[in-house]
Amino acid sequence: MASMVVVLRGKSQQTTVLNVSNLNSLESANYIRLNDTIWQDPLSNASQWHVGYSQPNMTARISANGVLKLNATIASESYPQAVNLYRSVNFSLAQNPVLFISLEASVGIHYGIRVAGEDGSGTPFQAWSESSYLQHRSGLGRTENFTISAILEAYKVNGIFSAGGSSITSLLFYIEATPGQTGQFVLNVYGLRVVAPNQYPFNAANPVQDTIDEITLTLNSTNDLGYTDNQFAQGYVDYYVRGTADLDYTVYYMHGLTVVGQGFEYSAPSLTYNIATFSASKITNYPPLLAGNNTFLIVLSPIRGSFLSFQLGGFSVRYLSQAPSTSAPTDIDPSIILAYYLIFLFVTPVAVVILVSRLFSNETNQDS
Amino acid sequence: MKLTKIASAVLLCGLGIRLGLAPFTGHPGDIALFVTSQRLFYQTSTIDLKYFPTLPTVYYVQLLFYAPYQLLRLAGMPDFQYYYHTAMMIESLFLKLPSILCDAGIFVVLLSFTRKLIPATLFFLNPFPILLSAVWGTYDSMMLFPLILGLYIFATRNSRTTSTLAFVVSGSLKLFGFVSFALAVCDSIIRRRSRDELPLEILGGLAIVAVALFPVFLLGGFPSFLQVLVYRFIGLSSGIGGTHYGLIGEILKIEPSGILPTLPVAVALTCVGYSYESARAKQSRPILFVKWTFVAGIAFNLFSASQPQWLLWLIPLGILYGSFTGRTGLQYFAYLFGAVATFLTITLLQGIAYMLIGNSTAFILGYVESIPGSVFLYAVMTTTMIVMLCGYSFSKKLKSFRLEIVPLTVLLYLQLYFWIVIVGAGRILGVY
Repeated sequence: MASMVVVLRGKSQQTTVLNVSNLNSLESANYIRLNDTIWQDPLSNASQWHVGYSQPNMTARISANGVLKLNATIASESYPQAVNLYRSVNFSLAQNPVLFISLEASVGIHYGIRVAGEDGSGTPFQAWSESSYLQHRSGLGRTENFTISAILEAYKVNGIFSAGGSSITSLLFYIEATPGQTGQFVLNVYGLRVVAPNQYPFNAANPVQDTIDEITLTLNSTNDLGYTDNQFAQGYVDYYVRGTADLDYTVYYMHGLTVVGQGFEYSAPSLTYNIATFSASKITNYPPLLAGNNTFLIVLSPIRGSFLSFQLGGFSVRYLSQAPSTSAPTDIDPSIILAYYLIFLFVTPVAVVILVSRLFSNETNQDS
Repeated sequence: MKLTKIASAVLLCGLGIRLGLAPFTGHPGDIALFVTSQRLFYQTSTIDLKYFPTLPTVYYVQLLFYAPYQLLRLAGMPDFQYYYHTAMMIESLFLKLPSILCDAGIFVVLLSFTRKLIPATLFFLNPFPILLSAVWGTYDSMMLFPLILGLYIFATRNSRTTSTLAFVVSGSLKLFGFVSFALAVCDSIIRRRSRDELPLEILGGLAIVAVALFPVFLLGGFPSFLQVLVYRFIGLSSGIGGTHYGLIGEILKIEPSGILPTLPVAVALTCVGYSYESARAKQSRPILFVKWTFVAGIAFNLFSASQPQWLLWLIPLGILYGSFTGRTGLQYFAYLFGAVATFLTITLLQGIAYMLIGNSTAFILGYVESIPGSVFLYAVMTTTMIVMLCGYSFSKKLKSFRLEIVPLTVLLYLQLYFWIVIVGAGRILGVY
């Protein structure tokens, strides 16, 4: 058998597996820094902000002295109530703007952040949806930080659209009360700025040291077998990494704007060798920064904190003719196969064991 | 040894059951990992040791058993895709063949060891080894076969060196096998054989490990090997996929954080326990070997980041210990334990459809599968079963098996189902 292994190695035609690996398959490696502030609200001019109410009998006060403060008094009603705080802004989507927002909402209230804009012809679009993690959040009574890619949020709602000529024109915060909720609630905005991501190429085989907000590895995935994203089975990437003490990150495998695979969450407060695995079954999220067009990317993206150094060891992205399925089957009647399964797994073995036990009930001292 | 007709019939029956299940079933995730590595070797010449998800010896064994399949395919044999499984039907069978044959090997060794058919049958026709070898496609039996064989050689032929090397082979397939190796080293030290057998055992063991690891080292996979397997096993890293703390951790809601070297502590305590009992010579050394390997298996399952397939270790070791000590109750309870573990694993952890049709989103028996608190229910029920297994192993009052324990176990499951799933006791207590 050992000689068969040697003789047959690589003898079959490649039909049922595809492996994209080796540094030869790495087209480029870049890291992203969010270090170029293109707009900032000093939060010292309350007149730029407007307050809106869902019900006319509500009251709220705003103040801005380095901290934008919305103080709302909510009376008990049988219906939901909301207070909005919004302002107009103007920054082009072509700059790939990323919003840094730092805020705190009172415990017990719900709040959200909404971004909207206009395309080149003046048609408005939303860059938020009801199901987004930025909506209907529970106030924690402590500071929370958000990194929001405007173009990514717009893509999630509208699909692919032309960013050229489009701009973000409105930024809105709201707090909302459920029916019967009453009291005084506060939303404090401590920081609000917009940055343009800067992308820096690096040689992945050598260590790179900087404050890094995302790492993207572009793969040269030539695929003569015609495999699709649905046939992605699993992937690995190994590297040496060090980050800030609070670094918590994950790995994405992307094809264009589609997340094909995701990994676990890792931390790396000191220089660590890590091998990260990613698969379709682990997809729960989207990288916070939009990183590519119609290419295959491995993205290392912090959930919090930043990378401080990185060196790639290798990677492997595997496809199978039939990868693990994550969609629900519709055309299967399981009754017959379930019966077959249970008969083989439980019924027959238990029946034979009972039979043997009966036959050899006095076996305690009897040899087989 | 020559098998009797009835023993041969049991062997054929067990093999038939396994061969009947293997082509139609599989753990799509794990099988995908194995089948990818094999296809990469035979289709693209890639030696996939850098990212192979477990010990390299498993890869070598699979290469050997996959080769005939590859030859048949090249000769024109067709193969078919069954529902959503990641491997084709005959391909899946060949991937599972090493474990299936090791099950048969364990059956023969237990038969030779105990000289009784019932203990060997209680292992071979236990639903849990059938599930793991023929359905899931995992490789715990590949580790258990040399382990049990080593114990047999140690007990019957008194060939220390051979048995110790069998333990090393076992450990090179799954690290648990090194527990018995550690006990063998302790035994040599206690018996003051450090001049004759001990160097041979250690050097032989190191040689086997070095041969197994050399290709990994050559292919640059050694850091991955250390990170994913060794550091994880000894508790110095979470390896791939974060940390979890097994059954007790699941019950007490110990959140994953940092490192917890439970396994080295368990191995050290096992060695201390063995050395203490061996020095006092309360029982014969083969019994002590089995007993303390069994104890280590229990400790691994309860206190470390255990996986459900680790429960298999307790079945042949429990049967063997029961046979040595005249505890027939333990042997039968080990069978019940395996049957319950099978039911719990396929319903609460995987979902029946996952290994049957290869899809995790379908639930065939919704009332027992797609339920809230399923992992908590699994952990509580399995831990209770392990406690009962300990009772059958070490209590003086529980030597024989009473049939009433079967309905009692069913009632226990129903009670836990009521409190955890219907009442939501775990949720109320904040456990999940």
